[in-house]
Amino acid sequence: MTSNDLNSSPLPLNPRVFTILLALADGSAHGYQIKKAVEERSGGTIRLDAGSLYRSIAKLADEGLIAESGERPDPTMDDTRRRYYCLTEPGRGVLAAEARRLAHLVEFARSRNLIEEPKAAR
Amino acid sequence: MTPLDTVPPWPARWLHSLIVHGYPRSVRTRFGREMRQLFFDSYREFRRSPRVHTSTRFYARAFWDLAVNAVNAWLDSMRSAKATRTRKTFKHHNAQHRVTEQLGTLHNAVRYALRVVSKTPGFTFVVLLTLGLGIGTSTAIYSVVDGVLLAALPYPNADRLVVARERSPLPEGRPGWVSPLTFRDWQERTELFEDLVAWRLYLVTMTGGDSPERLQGHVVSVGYFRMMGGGMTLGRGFTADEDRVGGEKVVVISHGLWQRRFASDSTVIGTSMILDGVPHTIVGVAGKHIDYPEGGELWAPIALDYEREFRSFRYLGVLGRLADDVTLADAGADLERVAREIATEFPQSNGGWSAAIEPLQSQVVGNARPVLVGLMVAAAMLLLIAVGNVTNLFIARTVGRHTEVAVRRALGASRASLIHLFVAEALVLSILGGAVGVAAATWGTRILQVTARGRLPRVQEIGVDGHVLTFAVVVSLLVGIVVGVIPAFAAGRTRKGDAFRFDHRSAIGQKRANRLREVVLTVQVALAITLLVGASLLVESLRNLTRVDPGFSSDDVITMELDLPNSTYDSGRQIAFFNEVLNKIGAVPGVEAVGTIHPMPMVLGSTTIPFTISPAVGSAEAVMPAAHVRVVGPGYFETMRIPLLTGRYLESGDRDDTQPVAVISQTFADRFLGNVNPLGHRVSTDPEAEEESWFTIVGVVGDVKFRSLKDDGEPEVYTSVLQTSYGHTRLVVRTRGAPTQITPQVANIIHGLDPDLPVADVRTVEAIVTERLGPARLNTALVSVFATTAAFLALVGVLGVLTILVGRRMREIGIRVALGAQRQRVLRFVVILGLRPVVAGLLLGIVVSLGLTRLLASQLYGVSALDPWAYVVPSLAFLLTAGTVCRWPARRASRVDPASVLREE
Repeated sequence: MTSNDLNSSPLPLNPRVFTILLALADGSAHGYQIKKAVEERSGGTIRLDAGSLYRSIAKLADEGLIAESGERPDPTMDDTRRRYYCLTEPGRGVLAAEARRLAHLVEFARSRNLIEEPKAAR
Repeated sequence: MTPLDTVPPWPARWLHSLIVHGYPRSVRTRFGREMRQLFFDSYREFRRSPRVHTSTRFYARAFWDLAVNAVNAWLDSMRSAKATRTRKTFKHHNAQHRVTEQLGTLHNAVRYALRVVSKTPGFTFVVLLTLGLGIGTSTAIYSVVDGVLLAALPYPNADRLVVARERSPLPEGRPGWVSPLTFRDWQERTELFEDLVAWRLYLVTMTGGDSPERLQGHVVSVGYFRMMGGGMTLGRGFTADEDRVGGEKVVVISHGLWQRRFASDSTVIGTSMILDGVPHTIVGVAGKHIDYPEGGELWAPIALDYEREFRSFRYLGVLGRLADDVTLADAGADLERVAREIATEFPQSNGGWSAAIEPLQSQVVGNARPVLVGLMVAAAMLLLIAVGNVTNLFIARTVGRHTEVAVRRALGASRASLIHLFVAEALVLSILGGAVGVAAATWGTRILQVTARGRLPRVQEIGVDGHVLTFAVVVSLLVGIVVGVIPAFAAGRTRKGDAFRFDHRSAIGQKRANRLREVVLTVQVALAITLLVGASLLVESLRNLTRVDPGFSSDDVITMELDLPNSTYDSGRQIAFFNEVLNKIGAVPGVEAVGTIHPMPMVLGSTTIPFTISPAVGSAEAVMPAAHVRVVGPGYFETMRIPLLTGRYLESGDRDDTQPVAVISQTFADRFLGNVNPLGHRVSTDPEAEEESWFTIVGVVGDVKFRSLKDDGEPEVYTSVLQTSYGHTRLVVRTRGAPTQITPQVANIIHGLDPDLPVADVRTVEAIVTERLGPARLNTALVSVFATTAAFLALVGVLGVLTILVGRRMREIGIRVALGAQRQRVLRFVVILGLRPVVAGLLLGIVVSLGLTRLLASQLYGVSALDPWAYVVPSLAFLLTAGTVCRWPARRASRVDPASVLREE
């Protein structure tokens, strides 16, 4: 058994993987759209360039969490060079499980008063 | 935007495909096209909103990600291949199968290469040394380029930070300081900045500890710490209430000061420190990363009093953060619009003035950019020369292995598999060479960090990190491919039947190999000549700089900072103090002269202040007179030996109860007074001022290089510290004999008068002048070392190629000698044979230099980039040395014994 065998225990997800899956939660998207969504949602803290993005996509596809999507959004906007990806059923399940896990953690942090509104100093 | 702009330029596309080709085939076929598409998309977005991003950073980021993940993808595929095997699954992907297969070939090739490498230790040693030198140098310089030029400043979204300045209409007008009133207008009238803050230098004396200490910090307007991204170590920044005239006395200390003076005490917030005799409450400790403007140890609120400011009094630095989605160009244009509005409203003070903004990053990096780019080019040339030598060694060896190659071909090896073999061998050597290079670079970087301190910005950020390692790996791989592929061309030509032609002198690859070698050598010589020309230009420029007369004599003068706090010294006490201190120091045996000055040449910058001259002179109408004001103590000109051109110096008799007097510099006289005798004219910063407060010009002195040795003289007005008291100043003391010996006595005199006054920054004026040359010296030294190494490597190349050529033609030479050729003629024949590529390279090198040295132009002083001597001298020297080097193999050839050569047949 190798340690990176994600199928046996997918959680917790690497934050980058989590944001990629999250980017696909609304429907299928191509590589560049995923990149933009991830960078936007992470506030620029996660950067994806060609190498890291497609390596993650390859891994997720091999693990069966995402798949190439048959559906194409708007035929006029479509570009045959692009491939679209979408969440698979297991992928959606893993994403939801991770979101729940994170929500629990946040709840716990809040109960310990660790999360408060930022003070208006300076 | 033209359609051409929507795809990256060809070198970028090419490099991108090259790196994508380095991915495992499974990944490449699956995603290769999409990776390219993503790269194009990102490029398009980058072009659409260039903002402050440099394209270097865009490419560095994209390629770095691509290269690192190529390595990771290989590791992934190896892991998954292994996992597949251990799971004994028969149902594996076709692609994975291919990966294992490919790994098999790669493995074989590498094993073969390692065997060959270990069997030829001498060859391996020379190759590793040469490549280590080339890759090491480029890697070390790249680490500097990466740390200083490419890495983002350590502030959140640092690419949105800009420096804003006012630009004067004067001929030497460069963007400079900003007047507080203009700053307020900018804040009110432009919307394209999220925020604008002002700062200025803040020099204070901290007392209350064991000994008083001089501290340098900055006063800043509210919002400064928010702009730098917050990140306080402790406490907070300033509030708007504190940044107000009469606001509470508060201070934020730097992380360094907190560690140094407060032993990282976490309860320091709320305690007070005495600055210039006034208690200030410490409200925060800044984050460790906050270091702009560089070198400050504390911050206090600037509390601008707009009621008491003049528009023509410009002394603020202004820092801005661009609002979201605003480009640099838009923000700059908007600020210029505001500047034009102000110029129309206040033509007296702002007529002709405009505004300019610049990314903070480029302002911090400043003059280092052309220097570093030049050094990187030089290092790349050195690397290419090293690669040339190794390539020629490989060509020679490939030709030597002609029989082995032919046998392999006869046994059915394809041309491609042979090329694979050669490239694998070259790659093994280049990666080992790269390892040697990285080791050398780590060591070199440390040396650079020490020598470059104070001569380059952001030195603390230089180091061998992930980026630098990636650079070294990519360079090593490229080198391996080049070194492997070029000789493979010669070998790949071998035909199957060639194995049985043991007379390899007639082999088909031979002629081709010779031509290849000569081409490589020509390029090497050309590169070496280019570097030599560049180095001799820089040496000449440095020599000119050291010969520049700064306008004063720097030997045997020592200087130190002195600061009388306003809280305890009113102007009367200041004058009394200066009188006494100058008299007492002047009486010390061994002291020849003593004076004071603020701001000191080459230590502090200053800004020009507009003047009115009375009676008005015709030429003054054209430009509003503006000059730097220097407050000096009597004896200053004598101490610095600044020549008196007419009139008299400032004297100790010029007191607050006598007529206010001034001495002007020659440039002031020439520019604003023309041919009129300047003596007796009066000047004032305030045209409305009463008659008796105007300064009467009593003397004209020689120009002084205040900013740097490269600058021309500027208009200066000197007033006496005994009339216009100014608490902050520097003492200058000229001694007979070693000036440093006098320091303790001077310090005793000052402490005798006031034990709370620190004596800070004691330096000889000579050291200050020398320090100014530091960056030029470092640059010249590095380029010279590169050029010498390059010349050495190129000469080794000449020797190597000629030795091989002579070896191959020994038979021909033997026959010529046997037929009666004179030895002298043989000698000449061989020398000419060797010099042919050298001369070609020389000519090529001169042409290349003519184009490239233009890049150096901004760094040259007193020498043109096309100075003929800088071209002729190194070229001749190289030619002569190459000629001497060629005589060694030539002599061997001329001494050949024809009988023994012919017997070998």
